[in-house]
Amino acid sequence: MSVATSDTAVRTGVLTRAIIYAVLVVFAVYYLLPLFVMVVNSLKPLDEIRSGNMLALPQTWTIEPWLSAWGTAQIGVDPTGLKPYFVNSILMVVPAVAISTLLGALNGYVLTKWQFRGHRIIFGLMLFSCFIPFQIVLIPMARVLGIIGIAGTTWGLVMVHVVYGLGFTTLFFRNYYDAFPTELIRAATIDGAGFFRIFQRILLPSSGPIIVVTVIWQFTNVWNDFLFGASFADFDSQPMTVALNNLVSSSTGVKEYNVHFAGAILAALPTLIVYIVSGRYFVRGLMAGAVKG
Amino acid sequence: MSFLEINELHKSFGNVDVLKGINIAIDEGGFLVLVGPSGCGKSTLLNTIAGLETITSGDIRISGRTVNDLHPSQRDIAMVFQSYALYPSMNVGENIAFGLEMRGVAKAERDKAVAQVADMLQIGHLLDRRPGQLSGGQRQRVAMGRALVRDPQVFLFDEPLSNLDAKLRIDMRTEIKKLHQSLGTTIVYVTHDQIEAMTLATQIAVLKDGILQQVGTPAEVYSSPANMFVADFMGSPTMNMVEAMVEADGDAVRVKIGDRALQVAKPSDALRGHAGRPAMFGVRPEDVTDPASADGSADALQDLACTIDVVEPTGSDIFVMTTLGGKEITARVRASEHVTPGDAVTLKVNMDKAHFFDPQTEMRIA
Repeated sequence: MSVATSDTAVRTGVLTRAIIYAVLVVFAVYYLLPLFVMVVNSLKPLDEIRSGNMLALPQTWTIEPWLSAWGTAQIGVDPTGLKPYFVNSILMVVPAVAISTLLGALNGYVLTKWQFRGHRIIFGLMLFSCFIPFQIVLIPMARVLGIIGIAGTTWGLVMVHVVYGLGFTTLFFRNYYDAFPTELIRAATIDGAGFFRIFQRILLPSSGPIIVVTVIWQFTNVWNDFLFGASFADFDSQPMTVALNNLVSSSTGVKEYNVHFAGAILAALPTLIVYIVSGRYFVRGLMAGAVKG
Repeated sequence: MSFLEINELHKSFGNVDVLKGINIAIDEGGFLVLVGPSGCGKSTLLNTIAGLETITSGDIRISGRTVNDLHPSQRDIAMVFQSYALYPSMNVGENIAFGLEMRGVAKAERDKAVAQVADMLQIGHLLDRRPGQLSGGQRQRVAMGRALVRDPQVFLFDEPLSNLDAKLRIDMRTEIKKLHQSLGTTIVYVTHDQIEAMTLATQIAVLKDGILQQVGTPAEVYSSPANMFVADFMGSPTMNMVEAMVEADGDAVRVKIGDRALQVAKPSDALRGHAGRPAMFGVRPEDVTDPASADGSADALQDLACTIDVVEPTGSDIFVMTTLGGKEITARVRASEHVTPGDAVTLKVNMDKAHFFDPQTEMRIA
């Protein structure tokens, strides 16, 4: 691939390259600007935001808004800051991502290597679940959570996200395992490994790239979800996104924009970190499904 | 009683019959090669022996024990796959030991067995490497090591050499043969390469469209092919086949091909009985030669005057194309023979080695 790139680069004129880079720089600035505005304004005292330019650097640097957003800002009834909700989100995201990824991997394994009559239909139905809008299931889901007795709890949210994520995780793993050589499964069968042993010893160790893809996808979706959090959580289980909304849209007192900016960054930080840490695996994993070997 | 027995084996996928009543038996220590063109069912047959495919009806017995319903891991077999199927996440040592580990063999014993096999296959220095870091030939050895370490009753090979380059393939072929000679374990081996079949087998089974065409030693299959398909499939270059008339003249029998007649030295009763009817006359390229390399002990060498169309030197021999009865035939002559296209030459046909087939049934007459 690199050969082809340098090859075309040689033939492209200097002017063309300059234009391409200019366009790229413009777009990069365009995409980075909101982040810049958020970071800059979260480090200013409130007066500076009111009086001055949103794009200007702070005259007085302060981390007070960050501390406030994290620990003392008024959210709902109590001045708790975002901290407890951050914990709620973590408690929800980690099991939801782990369970949906593991189940997706198992589904993919069964749908490709232990095919049964009607496996295509089952897969089709699971795929279909990717396209069902959230709003449609709100009321049935609330009813189900009520019947199970986990309405308003973190585990209730975990279940909702596992159910909703399963379609996607199954799709990812099925496509990845489809390209996985069946002869390996046969060899392991002859070697005496059973269903779970083959999964654990042969497939999972080779699934790194697709696990990364699935984890990023699920983490981002579950972390950023607002609708389910707002609909199914109680005060003590509300995730970060709902708390952020409560922080920003509270109608009493002064609008502390700097605190809001800091809170928004805090809410976005985990997904950002996940991308930065494993982004290159993400691209590699997406490629791995498409190109065999 | 035979060691590996396959009785009336049928296998269908949906309403497609892939194997249509296979009967094969080999003795302990035998080397059975299943050969045939692609899609003939040879790999399916191997998979049914391994237990990777269920069978529709029939019987498979290994060492007197019916294994039809046994799980692959309980049949006491080991298999080498075409793609080698080495576990990518394990190193060579772990790959070889995996089967033992799954059977609950203790670590110390596993290590000993792995070391022994690695020594035998000369892969001791590779034990810590991943399959991805090995060359094709090394992977092949590891795949064999994984089968060997279990010391099974039967080895199954599924086209194990087809992914290797030509030279390595011949080396590994010899090595498999040596291995078989030193271990004496029964082997079932699938290939589409008739040369591999000839060199390795003690028994060859030729398959076509899920039907067994012939089972026999390499010599039997080569020198008395049961039908036109086997005659055509085995041997390279392929056997020359020409339409002919069988004619009896008192005691003597001759074949008329166009306006030529060739005497048959010791006609069998079957051929004599076929007199007056058309037959396919088959003769292998090595039995149509220049006079100097003709088999002197043959009873009936017949002259064949012809014109050379094409000359293909291979180094050791020259293959010469000419025409007989309106069809192109191949003859094999000495490398030292000076032949050029357009030459008129007289070739010797060894009629002892002539084959006759019924054009309708395609079955062997004599």
